[in-house]
Amino acid sequence: MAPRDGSQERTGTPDTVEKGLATINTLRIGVKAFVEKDGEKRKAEILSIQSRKGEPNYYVHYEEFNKRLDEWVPASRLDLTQEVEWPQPEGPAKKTQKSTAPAPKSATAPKTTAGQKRPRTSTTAAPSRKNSETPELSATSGNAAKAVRPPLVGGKENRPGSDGSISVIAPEITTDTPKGEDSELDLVDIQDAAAAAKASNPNQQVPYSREEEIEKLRTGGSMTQNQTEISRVRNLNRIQIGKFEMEPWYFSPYPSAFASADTVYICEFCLSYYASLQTFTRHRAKCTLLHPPGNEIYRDNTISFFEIDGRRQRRWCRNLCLLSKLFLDHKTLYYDVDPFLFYCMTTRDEHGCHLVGYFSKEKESAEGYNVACILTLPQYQRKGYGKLLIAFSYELSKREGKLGSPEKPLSDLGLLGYRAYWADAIVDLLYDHDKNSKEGKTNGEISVEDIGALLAMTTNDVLHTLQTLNMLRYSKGQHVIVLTESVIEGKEKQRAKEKAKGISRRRIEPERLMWKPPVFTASSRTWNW
Amino acid sequence: MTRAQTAALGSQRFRQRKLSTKSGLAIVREEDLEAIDDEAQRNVPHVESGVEKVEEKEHHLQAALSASQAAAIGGKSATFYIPTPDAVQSQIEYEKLYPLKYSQPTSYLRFSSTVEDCVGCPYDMDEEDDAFLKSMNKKRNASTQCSELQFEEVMNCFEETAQAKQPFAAVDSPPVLSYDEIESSIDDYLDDHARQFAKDIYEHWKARRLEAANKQLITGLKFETGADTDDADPYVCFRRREVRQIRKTRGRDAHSAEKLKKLRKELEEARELFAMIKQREIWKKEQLAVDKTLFDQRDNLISVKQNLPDQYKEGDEDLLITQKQKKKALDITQRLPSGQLQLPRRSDGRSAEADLLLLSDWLAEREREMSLAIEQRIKQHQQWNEGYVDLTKAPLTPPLETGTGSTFRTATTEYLPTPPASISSEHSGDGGIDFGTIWERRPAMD
Ligand SMILES: [Zn+2]
Repeated sequence: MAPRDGSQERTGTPDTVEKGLATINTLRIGVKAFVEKDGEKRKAEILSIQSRKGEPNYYVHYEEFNKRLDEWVPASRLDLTQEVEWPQPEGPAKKTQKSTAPAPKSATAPKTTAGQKRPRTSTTAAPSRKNSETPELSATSGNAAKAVRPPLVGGKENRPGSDGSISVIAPEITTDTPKGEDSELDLVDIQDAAAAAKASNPNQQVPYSREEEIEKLRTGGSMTQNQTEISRVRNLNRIQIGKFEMEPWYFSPYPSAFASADTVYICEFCLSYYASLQTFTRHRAKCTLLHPPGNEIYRDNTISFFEIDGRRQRRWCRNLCLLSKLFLDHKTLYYDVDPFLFYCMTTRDEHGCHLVGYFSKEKESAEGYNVACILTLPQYQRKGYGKLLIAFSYELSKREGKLGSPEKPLSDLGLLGYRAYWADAIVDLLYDHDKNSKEGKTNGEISVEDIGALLAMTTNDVLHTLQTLNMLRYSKGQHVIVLTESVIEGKEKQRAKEKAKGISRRRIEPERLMWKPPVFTASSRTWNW
Repeated sequence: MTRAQTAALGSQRFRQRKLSTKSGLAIVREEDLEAIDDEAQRNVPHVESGVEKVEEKEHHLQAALSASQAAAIGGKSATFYIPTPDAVQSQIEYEKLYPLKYSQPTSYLRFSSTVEDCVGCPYDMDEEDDAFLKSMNKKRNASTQCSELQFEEVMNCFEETAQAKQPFAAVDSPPVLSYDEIESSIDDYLDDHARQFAKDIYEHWKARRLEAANKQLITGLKFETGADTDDADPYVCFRRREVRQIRKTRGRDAHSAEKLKKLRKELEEARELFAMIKQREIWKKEQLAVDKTLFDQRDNLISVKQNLPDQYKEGDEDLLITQKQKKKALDITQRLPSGQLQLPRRSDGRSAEADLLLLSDWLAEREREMSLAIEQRIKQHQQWNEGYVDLTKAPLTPPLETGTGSTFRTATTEYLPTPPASISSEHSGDGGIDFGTIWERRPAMD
């Protein structure tokens, strides 16, 4: 809608940014203001405004910080002594954007078919957060009508008469009585209203001129928002699972009524969700599940892996996806879970097998991805489990005799996790290879593809890792792999530590994996009633 | 790596210094490195991080990346964690909620029950239900108390009946089902003990349904309704995939084309096989018809002969029975002169004698033709050789006298190294090397 669209265009054409001083009454969604964060003033975009006990609260996204740090702040944290950036009204600037970003749709289209990842932002498209609003909605698989649907934001395609476009009527300008400042706004109502507004006749002429709209927005201080922006605001306040409680990081489409619950309780074993302790307690009295509902395919002293088929365990896998969406930004629940297998890592005690993390994997990936989404639950993060999950995914690829790579885009944590695993695996391999060749056991040379084949990694990922470790050098007319001092030092320290403690790092032991690559018929991969 | 990526990498490399991912690279220690060609460093293809461009710029990720970068180069750096909201220990009564029930089997678990199988009655009573149940039980004596589970079963019965009878309640908002409408299903769903609470609980259920605009009391996920609002609604999730679109790749195309070709070939072969079987059966049928005609005619003959008893001859019966092959062969000469009643002995109606005669004729004819052709070639050969000395003969065997008819066989074998052009190759022209031509050119080369 207007505010969003403007801000996006400003990103691309900074010279058109409209700045000015604002007051509490003129602040609206899309405005970028300076907000105090950890003692510093950070530029942040207002994504939502709500009144709480008569005071306005602002949901803000800090520029150049991950969305998981978005938060509600009171007006007192906003620095209105500095100029704010106004959302860009509709204007000629759009045309330039259109020409510079001619085909964002085609860039995202292939990603949408995969079904579990949010499409990647086209590199040509300037807007930063466009994807979160127009994600999976366009170019859905096998639906031509959807495929030509323009992004829902962005006034540029909303002008009446442009080909096949949909006029989106801003909910901000519907003639509903504006909500009083004191009333608690319910996200659900906003969303319903917005959805209804969106569904209205697509060819209908927008009854207000753009200028009138802006003026109304400016003076009305409306607190409603575009429904597509709802998913930019975290909906759950807090979740309780197992022995832990935590704040969600991102939006997840749990029942919309849950937004008003203080805490959402999630059963640790079946992952069902409850908005009250009473219902949750009743559920626990009846629930008999003690581990992920599938076959155990790996077991060592501390962990087990279970393989769950999305098609056979639809309910459980849906529950898992809802839960993981709370912590994964680049994930979409637009489509159902059928074409995926879920590999779930658990720890054991006498209560049962506790879910630590999981990764999903397409039953058949055309791009050769061996992981779609991967998550270590927050309460188990920074304990080395992520590396184990990744290692396991490569162990499966080795068993399949395929090279694998995770589906893109990676999240920030995903990138760091993968880089750490890749570095570890490659350095281990090279260190041993070098040692063996010094002892005359093997020929000293090794190619990038050899490394990939031994670790079930793609050539690209091997290259990527060698580069980031500064191990790929050119010397005396040829490329060499350098075991840098820091790499050797790190490895020797690690191994000495293991020796001293008498325990080895947690690793996946291939002989404990009881698994054959499952084979699926074409029909079982798709949805059949 | 995709084709496009490979191409992209290729274009970034210089010819001499390009990195081949296939060729072995030496592993060296940093201290053994002499000259590092920094210029060439840049020729190593840049590999994308896989993180969205916008997010790559995020402060915390950048900090983490530069920390690990510093570590790689050899600088000191503490591990940098991207800050995330913390998980904390919950105050919940975990031991009560999750009793110690699990004992691990020795073998790997195999399990196929679903969540639905494992959660029991799907209706979970909330605070409001709890208050109602307590007040209801207060009015009852100790022997007729309603347990929480019984209450839930009754509520679930109502909910499921409503869902079955008013599947579109969310859209067309019908009135809440009356007790009479539900009563019929109570007997199916509930046991005798639970049934006695149904009437009381119905009032509570009805009140709650009215409060909720007759929508389901258990809040579920929002699935697609087919309405236009679905697409923009972030709460609508887990849409069904109509048909999974097969992503087209060249490899996949070629693969399926190959499969289809094979399938077509196999089907074609099967079709041919059936056509041949059909033909065979048709021929069998024809043969049967012929056999029958034969039989009829023999029958006819018998009756004719019966009417003419004085014409009867010893041995005529043989004519009426199909003879065995062996016997027929022996009898041929004997039978030849015998009279007009001679019948074909073979089912195909051809006379065996004709066969024999033809074969000898044919063989004689063939022999004649062959000797004629050979004579001609010998003459031809002699003509070619006129004025030339054939040196190729010498290394093998001493030349023989040019033979006539009686000796030609030996002559041709001896001449094998320079065989005369066959008649057919002379005529066809494109039938390979013409030995005659080579022969003719040979003197010029000497
Ligand atoms: Zn449960």
